[in-house]
Amino acid sequence: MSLIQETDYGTPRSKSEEMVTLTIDGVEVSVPAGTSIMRAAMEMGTEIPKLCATDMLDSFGSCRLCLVEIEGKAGTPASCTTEVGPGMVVHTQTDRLKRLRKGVMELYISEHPLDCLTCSANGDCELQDQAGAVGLRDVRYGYDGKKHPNSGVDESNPYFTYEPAKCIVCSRCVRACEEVQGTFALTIAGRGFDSRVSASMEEAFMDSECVSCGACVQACPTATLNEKSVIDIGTPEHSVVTTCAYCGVGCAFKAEMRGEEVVRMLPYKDGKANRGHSCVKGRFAWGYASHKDRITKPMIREKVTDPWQECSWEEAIEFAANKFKGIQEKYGKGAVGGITSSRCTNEETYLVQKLVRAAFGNNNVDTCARVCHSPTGYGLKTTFGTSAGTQDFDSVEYTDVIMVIGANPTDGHPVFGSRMKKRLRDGAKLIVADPRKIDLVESPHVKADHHLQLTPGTNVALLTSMAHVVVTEGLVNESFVRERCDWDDFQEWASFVAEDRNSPENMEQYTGVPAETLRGAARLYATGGNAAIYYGLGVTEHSQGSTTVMAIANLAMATGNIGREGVGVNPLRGQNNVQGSCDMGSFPHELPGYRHVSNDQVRELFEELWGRPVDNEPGLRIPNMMDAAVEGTFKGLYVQGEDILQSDPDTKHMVAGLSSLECLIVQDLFLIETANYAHVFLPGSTFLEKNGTFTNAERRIQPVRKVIAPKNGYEDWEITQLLANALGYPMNYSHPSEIMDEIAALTPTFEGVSFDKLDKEGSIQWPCNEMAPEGTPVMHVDEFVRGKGKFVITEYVPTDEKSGPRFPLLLTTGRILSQYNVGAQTRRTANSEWHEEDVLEIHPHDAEQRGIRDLDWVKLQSRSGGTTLRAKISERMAPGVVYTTFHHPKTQANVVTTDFSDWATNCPEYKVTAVQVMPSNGPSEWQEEYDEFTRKSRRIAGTPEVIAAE
Amino acid sequence: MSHSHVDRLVYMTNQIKDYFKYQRDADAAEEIADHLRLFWDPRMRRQIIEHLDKTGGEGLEGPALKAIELLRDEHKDPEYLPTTAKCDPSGGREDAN
Ligand code: SF4
Ligand code: SF4
Ligand code: SF4
Ligand code: FES
Repeated sequence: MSLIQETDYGTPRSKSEEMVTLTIDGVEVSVPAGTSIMRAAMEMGTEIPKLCATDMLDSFGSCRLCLVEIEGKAGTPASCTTEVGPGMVVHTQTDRLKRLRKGVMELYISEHPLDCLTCSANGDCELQDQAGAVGLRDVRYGYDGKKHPNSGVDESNPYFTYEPAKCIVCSRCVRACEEVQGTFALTIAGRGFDSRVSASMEEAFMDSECVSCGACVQACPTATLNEKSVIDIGTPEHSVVTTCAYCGVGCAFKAEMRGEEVVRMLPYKDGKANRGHSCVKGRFAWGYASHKDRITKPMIREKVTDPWQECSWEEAIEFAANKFKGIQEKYGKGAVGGITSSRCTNEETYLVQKLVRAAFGNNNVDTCARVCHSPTGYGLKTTFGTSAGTQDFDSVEYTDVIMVIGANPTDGHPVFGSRMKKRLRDGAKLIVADPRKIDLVESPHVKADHHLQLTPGTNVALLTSMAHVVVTEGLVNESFVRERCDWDDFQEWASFVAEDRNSPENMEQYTGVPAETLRGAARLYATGGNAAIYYGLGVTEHSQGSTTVMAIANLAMATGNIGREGVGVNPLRGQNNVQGSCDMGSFPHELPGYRHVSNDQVRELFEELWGRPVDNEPGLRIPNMMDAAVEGTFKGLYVQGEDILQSDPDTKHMVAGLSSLECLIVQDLFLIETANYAHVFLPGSTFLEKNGTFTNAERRIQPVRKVIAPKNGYEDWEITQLLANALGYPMNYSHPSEIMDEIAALTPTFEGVSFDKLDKEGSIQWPCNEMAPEGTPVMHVDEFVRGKGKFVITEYVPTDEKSGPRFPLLLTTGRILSQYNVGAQTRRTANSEWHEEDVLEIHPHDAEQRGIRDLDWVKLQSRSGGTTLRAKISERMAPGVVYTTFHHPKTQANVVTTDFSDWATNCPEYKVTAVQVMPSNGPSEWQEEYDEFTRKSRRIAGTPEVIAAE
Repeated sequence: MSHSHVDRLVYMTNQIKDYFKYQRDADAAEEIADHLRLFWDPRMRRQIIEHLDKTGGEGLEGPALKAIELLRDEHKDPEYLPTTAKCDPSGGREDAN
């Protein structure tokens, strides 16, 4: 293995389809119109010296190193800023050019400290490379330019340093922050020799607007901006391409290694989801893999009040298997179940559901996707016929109107958020429907055309009234609807939405959105060109979550915004493999590929290959498992890579359920909250330690590759396999590729997928089969998967969770950029420097009424329970609405959320809880009791140190 | 807010009803029953049928009550449980994926 060096073409690829032919150094070459001479030369393998150009950024033309001669043209134009022309004859290397380039280089080097041997970028420095490329041998101006005195190093960012003395003022960092990331945190301050890069208003990076995406560090050709890990360890010597294990964007990274040590994660330019960009989590927050809290030895105990006993793998697996066998003998085979993880690979998830269906002999398998995107599955399957988003991420580049509803892409899906912002800066229009004034509503060079600041819980009212405008103002794309959709259903739907009660004027009483604003947004969506809807958990996590998804689908069909680039309905998935875990049959009623367990033919296929009967009845969902546990009919649960206690709603009910179990097996990296109630702890492996695949929000299947041996001894799929064998159900896979082969053999949409193909193609978007051997970037092109698109009536039914005199405020929940889900990983990295604790955002008016000041402790109380946390006074919320995150177990925000859930899928209603907020002076009784219990439950026999409760 | 178990099942059934009763082309009770066949574990269906037997379906509203009656009639024999849904949310092409 060696270090993967990606070619830098100097300037971005031109999208033009028209080709231009020119001659460079005597060789004829054809490239798309609009390509730079620099890029055209590189495409034929000729590297023109360059410093300020890189293909992630638009050309800038400041360093003057890339000069060329063009026959018939005077002077020596910069090849990065000069576009190719038909018949052009270009020379990239002449005596004059050599002389000029040396001169330029001499000036740079005379200003640059020459401590190359001890510089952290030694061997990975473009300045060095280019000095070599132009043949620089001496510097007439001497080496003691003005910058040499040490001008200090900014080490405030936990992950990278800024050392101005080494800066050549090429502006690549500034442009990366603007063009790639869209944060505009950097500028060049000062002039001439004094000019230097400055974060925001000459602040330290950490105090500036910087969100630590790393784009500037990657763009910097010198060691001025450099990863601290490279400074500590040295430059990497080999690299492996893998996929980020954090969010549903699915960024591809090069894991750059020195031996078995990860030196850095560099975003991979060929990654089709991220196109070379990253966010702070994937780029920098991988240190949890070697955090001291990580458990690497299996542990067992009889009672959850006992301290843990470390033991061998054999002992732990035997202990677990015996317990499960005993439970099934005593209470019946339906008394046990399993939960798959959206953080694990497709292969691991598939194996857990196989274990449940074939070895346990029931369908009691569910997934953490239940609590986020199960309504997407139901809603899109009903209307379009398939449980997935319709587009790839590239599609946004062709969108004219972006509608974001219930999603906060700049925090939740940062790399896609950046791509979206780029398209917005290039002229697309924006509609944001969100109770909060999220960053997209107004950020540098981006401003929403319409912000529909709706009351939480009124999505259906909002979308139905948008449909009202579309239908009653004659904005329906009738030819699309007639050709592609069920016309009878459409007519019924149209007459329903056209009713006066669904008008924006009438719905305003529920949504709080002024009718005129709503009409404007609806008109823009229907008539502004290619319109695409992007949505997140603010859509799904409601009692009408599935209905909202269908309302979105209705709107897209009515306006013909489906089936081509630039349009579509796009769920932004939370965790890295939410899509995959759903595809892999993690739901209790569906086998892999979303096929109902009652389908005899499908079951037969599985039964034949698995050698065991598959139950034809749906199994229990997570909340129903807990109900059944409390009731005494459900006794054993195997949880892989998921902290259901912290992430699921109504914590107290979850605690009651978990503590009723006779055997809870938790497989995870850390002693997570759920593990407090576990009898068996099986240490899991990180994404750096396993092979497999993740499927991102675009249905893109991408490889995860092992770069270090599992610290716990096994990859997660191997552990499931051990358990299956101990239960008497043989599993003998020797590599995850064999599991994928089995998935492909059983699942029509995965028919063409294999590890070999993934190695060749890099990634594949399902469906991938005979009809679409290369995969499917855009779905429903000529026909919906279900045949005719189905319009569904979306009556607004207000949630039963209502504010009132006792609980006058509405709480909604979400996430922030630097932390991920329950935070088990990100809290164990320096990302906590950005987010030490969950805070309650409250409008100044509501705060003042309650005598609450910024950063005061407050008690947050709902019908379910109470917790305390600090208040942050913020105008991002409308009065009457408060907001918090759920990244920290100490807050236990889900003590407050209720057990209301989506009518179709039981996806919990996280986004609406009626609450009261009042000043407080410390943790609630529940928090104190829970802390004490956690401390006890985490004791490990023979280990003096108790792992502190967080 | 925590419901007792059977209350919760009743609540969920009524919620499902609140969707299907507005679908104009469909028989709401049949659709609700079908939803329960497709998504509910048999022990949940059994419990709500028991609730119907015991209380006459207390709390179940309109077509929700009728749906549970349909389920009960299907399995007069307590051991019998229907396996295949009558209608299919994917419009008859459930294997299209
Ligand atoms: S790390 Fe990202 S946000 Fe911060 S300055 Fe660099 S490019 Fe801008
Ligand atoms: S910090 Fe690096 S990228 Fe930025 S101007 Fe200086 S040398 Fe160029
Ligand atoms: S967390 Fe998401 S956006 Fe950030 S690097 Fe990972 S996949 Fe990309
Ligand atoms: S690379 Fe062209 S001017 Fe710098």
